Amino acid sequence: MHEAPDVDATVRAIESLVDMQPESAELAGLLMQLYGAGLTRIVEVIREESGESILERLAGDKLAASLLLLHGLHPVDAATRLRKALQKLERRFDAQRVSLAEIKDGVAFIRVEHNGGGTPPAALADMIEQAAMEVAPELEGIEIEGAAHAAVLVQIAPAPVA
Amino acid sequence: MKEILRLRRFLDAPVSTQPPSERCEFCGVAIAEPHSHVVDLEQRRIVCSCRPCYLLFQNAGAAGGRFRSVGDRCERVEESGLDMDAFEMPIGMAFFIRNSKSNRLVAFYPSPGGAMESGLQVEAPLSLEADIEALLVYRRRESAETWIVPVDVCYELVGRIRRRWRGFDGGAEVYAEIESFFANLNEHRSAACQI
Repeated sequence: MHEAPDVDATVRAIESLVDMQPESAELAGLLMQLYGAGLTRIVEVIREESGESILERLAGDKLAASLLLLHGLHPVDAATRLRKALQKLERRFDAQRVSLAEIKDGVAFIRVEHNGGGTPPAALADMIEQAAMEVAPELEGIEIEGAAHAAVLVQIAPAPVA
Repeated sequence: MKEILRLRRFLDAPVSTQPPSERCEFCGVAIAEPHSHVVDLEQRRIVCSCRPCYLLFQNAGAAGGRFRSVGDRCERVEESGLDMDAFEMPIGMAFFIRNSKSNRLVAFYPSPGGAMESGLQVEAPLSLEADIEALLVYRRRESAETWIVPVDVCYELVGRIRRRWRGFDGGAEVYAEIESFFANLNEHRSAACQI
């Protein structure tokens, strides 16, 4: 297996190259469109061959998943991913119930119910945000109801047009 | 996983599959085809320019004498006054530019490698504006054409020949290209040279 590239460092390198040479943004876009079209085709073929288990494995691979997400091809929708992550989080804090109310206009509304005690609300809110950004970075914002922490909007570019 | 989504801005940016438009080499403004050309006398090359920059260098001596806008004369002449039999023209074509520095008429041949300078000493009685006008001669078996054209017209022709050149003598395609070039010159005398 190939050694996974450092995605963050690669993104930063691309950005600084484009800063130095703004015309190269077009080159980057063209290459990404080409590879994106190829990825789309690959995902289609896997689906046609009922390879859902393959897609699941890819969704679980950080690098593959991030590229699928970038091209709007992630096989699991944001709500499902978020629910799963919240359940995992919830298991760590017995005293609280954390659930996803809805995703509306790219903003996830997450409800926290206290059963007394448990993690301080601000710390919990931070953890929820972190978990949500990790599994569903395409979200434009997260609203947490029931935690003291004020909702923070994280600005992310809108999803690519299909 | 969040960082990679920053690349979306490249995906979303309008991408044209057209080659990027050319720019004026003086001021950087985008220029369409056809556009003007200026001769760089120091580096002896043709520089693409927008119309305003072209107008800047129309007078001899502009930019300390370094730059000179190509000529705008484009006319067919009856006789070149040159003894064409005195030298070999590989594909029956040559063009002549007067070099202002040496005050000599320099002959060039189109070739697959671009314009080749001939070392031959020639002189023509025709008056040519130095550096910016060229005497273009094309000899077919049965007829010949002689033109006074802006130098960039010759460079365009050289470029077309280079693109079409096949094999040892250029091949049939190259002659078809040359014929279409001269047909265009005859038909739109002024338009073809409206640089």
